[in-house]
Amino acid sequence: MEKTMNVNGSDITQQQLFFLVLQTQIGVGVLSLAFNVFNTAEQDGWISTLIAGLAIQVAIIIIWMMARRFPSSTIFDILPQLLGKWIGNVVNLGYLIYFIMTAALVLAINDQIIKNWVLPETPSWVISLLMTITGVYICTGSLRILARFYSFVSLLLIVLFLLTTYGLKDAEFLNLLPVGEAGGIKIITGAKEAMVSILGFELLLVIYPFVKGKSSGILKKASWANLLVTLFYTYTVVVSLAYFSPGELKLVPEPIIYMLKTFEFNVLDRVDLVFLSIWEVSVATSFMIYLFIASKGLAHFFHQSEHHNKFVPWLGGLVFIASLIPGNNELVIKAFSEYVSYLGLIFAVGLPAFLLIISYLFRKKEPEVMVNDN
Amino acid sequence: MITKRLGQAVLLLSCLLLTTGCWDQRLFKDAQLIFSTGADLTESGKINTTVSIPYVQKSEQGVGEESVQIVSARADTPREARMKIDEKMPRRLDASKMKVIVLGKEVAEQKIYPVLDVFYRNPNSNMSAKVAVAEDSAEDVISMKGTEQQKISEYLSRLLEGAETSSIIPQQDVQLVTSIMFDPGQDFMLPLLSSVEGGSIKNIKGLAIFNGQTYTGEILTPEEGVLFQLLDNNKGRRARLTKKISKDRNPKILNYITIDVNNVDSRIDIVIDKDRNITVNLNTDLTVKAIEYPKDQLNTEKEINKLNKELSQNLTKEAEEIIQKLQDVNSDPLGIGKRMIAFHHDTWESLDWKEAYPDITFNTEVNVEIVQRGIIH
Repeated sequence: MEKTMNVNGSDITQQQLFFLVLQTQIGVGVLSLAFNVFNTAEQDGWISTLIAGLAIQVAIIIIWMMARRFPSSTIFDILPQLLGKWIGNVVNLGYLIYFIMTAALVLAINDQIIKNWVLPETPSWVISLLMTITGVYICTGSLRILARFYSFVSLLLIVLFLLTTYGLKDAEFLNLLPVGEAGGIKIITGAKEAMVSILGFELLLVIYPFVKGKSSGILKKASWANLLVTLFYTYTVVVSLAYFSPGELKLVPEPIIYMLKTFEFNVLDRVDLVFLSIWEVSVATSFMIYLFIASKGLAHFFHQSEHHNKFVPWLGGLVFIASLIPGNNELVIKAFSEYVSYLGLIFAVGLPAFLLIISYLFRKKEPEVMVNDN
Repeated sequence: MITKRLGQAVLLLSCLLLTTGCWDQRLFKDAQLIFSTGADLTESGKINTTVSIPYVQKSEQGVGEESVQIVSARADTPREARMKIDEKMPRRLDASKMKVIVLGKEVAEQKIYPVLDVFYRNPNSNMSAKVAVAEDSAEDVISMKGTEQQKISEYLSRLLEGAETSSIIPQQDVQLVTSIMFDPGQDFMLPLLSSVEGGSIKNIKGLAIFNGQTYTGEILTPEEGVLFQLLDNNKGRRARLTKKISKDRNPKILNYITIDVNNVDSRIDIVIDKDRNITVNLNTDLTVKAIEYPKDQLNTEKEINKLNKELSQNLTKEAEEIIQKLQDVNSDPLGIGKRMIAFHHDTWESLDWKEAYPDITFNTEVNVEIVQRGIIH
């Protein structure tokens, strides 16, 4: 199924899609993943992470199968076609709110961690505003610009990998044994925790029509990205599990940077700061993509799908304000995060599966002759 | 064109000046760095924190002379004590370059985590600081005069590093200590600094054995420390032992040999029989180099074999004593419990490890093989 759609040079190559998915999936979650899965699945947290990656692979296939039937439509166009104008638009609003909330959550967590680890005195709004401005600036450009930026900064992931690897120096792999001791239920619950950190593939719902080339290629690239992210995440979990004793890991919500804080190189005392500044880029990329797809959604409501950039500054402002609502209350942010993670499971996994079934049942798909409604 | 580019570059670079924040500056001139701190328990249960603060005394020649000021304060928690010290100082106390934390004996005999909490909770603290226990009061150690040119913090950290190099104490920092502290299957030991006499520390007295978070009062001597690191497969850069291998030679010096351990391979094997009796087989193989053998004549295979046997017996006996000592105070620094969790999980679950550990059987065996003899035989 060759696609021919091209919206004002905003289409991207499949290679770029790979980096988009990669960078969206790796985000705020990487720091606390090991802690989260350990709390539920104990030393089998790494199995949970692998299972989460597998579950997400299934979700990617579902989204792809659905999106393939509407190769030139974003989720915002698909929903009214499948569910009728009214319900479709209500669900569309749901997606819009979900994207906005995720973006706000990313800002809030970022602010919390930066304040805790690096800049305790700097006001929250400054930290969030800096991120918002960067995000708004890049999102007013086309998707292609976003994708190029993502491909470029993906190089930094190598540094994150190497820094994490240094932790193996003091690793005690006995901590990982016995394998499977936590039991199936705990491991599956842990997998749910881990899935929330690996969310991000749902961007496919919106950007699918902008990717050039065969649809099978799209699935391949998104899957490769997911595989890489899953392996990277599992790796960080294994390193954290091996580095910290079980009793200590319960107390350390950001194990990877806590571990790096201990290391001392001749010229460098706080390796955690190096890690955090690189991690900040990964946070930025996650934030940007949510801002971007939210602006696509908003543009859809105003029937201006081609001019998403008009809406970016407004959305940026909205997200910025929303992110400040929890204040510095860690517990509120945690509750917020849990809430959004449930939304994530609904909007990124549940709904797409439901929509796929509907589109098969009612044989709804895009007419073979391209109708370019833009 | 070029001027335009240049203009842009200058503009961008000057933007950099605006990107520094104003809130989180921690200027060196405002900070009073402390490199070592000591915590003691007062009779009323308060914490007495002592810090040594280096400063430069201006002399008439204009050449500054370095000196230290010892400040201590009593409060309910270490943090509060630090705040009180801060009040006495013109500059803000900054512990982010901390090198050595000394715990007084009484503090160590209580649970030690509460005293260290402040280090773990603050992102700026230095997690690679060393922890040591003072045989007596930590205040005495901190207020001691260092040797000629070294500040006390430097003196202590060199002392500890030296002991790590020669395998007397394990490579350890604050972070590693907590990691073990919260491990249900392992205990730790901390270097013990001997009492201050005549204003200076003599040496490291050995390793203070902890049971959980509490100092048991028992110690391993430095000699035993080295052997323990070998049993634990945790040789530092160097591990040297001087052993008596006979009794009746005259002069006495001929009774001894000093060996330098090249390689150590220590294996822990846990066997559980039908009746749930736990036996630990601890086999340690050492390949060593003879670095001093006053008796001389290390040239026949027979002589070497005899020495190997003698040394093996000698060290096995000493290792057994170490294990016995550890079991007597219910301390498990070898991490037998960790292996139980990993390999015999069911048994572990059914046991109260703290009760079972002192009664388990150890079969300890040390095998020594001399493989090098230096440049003479």
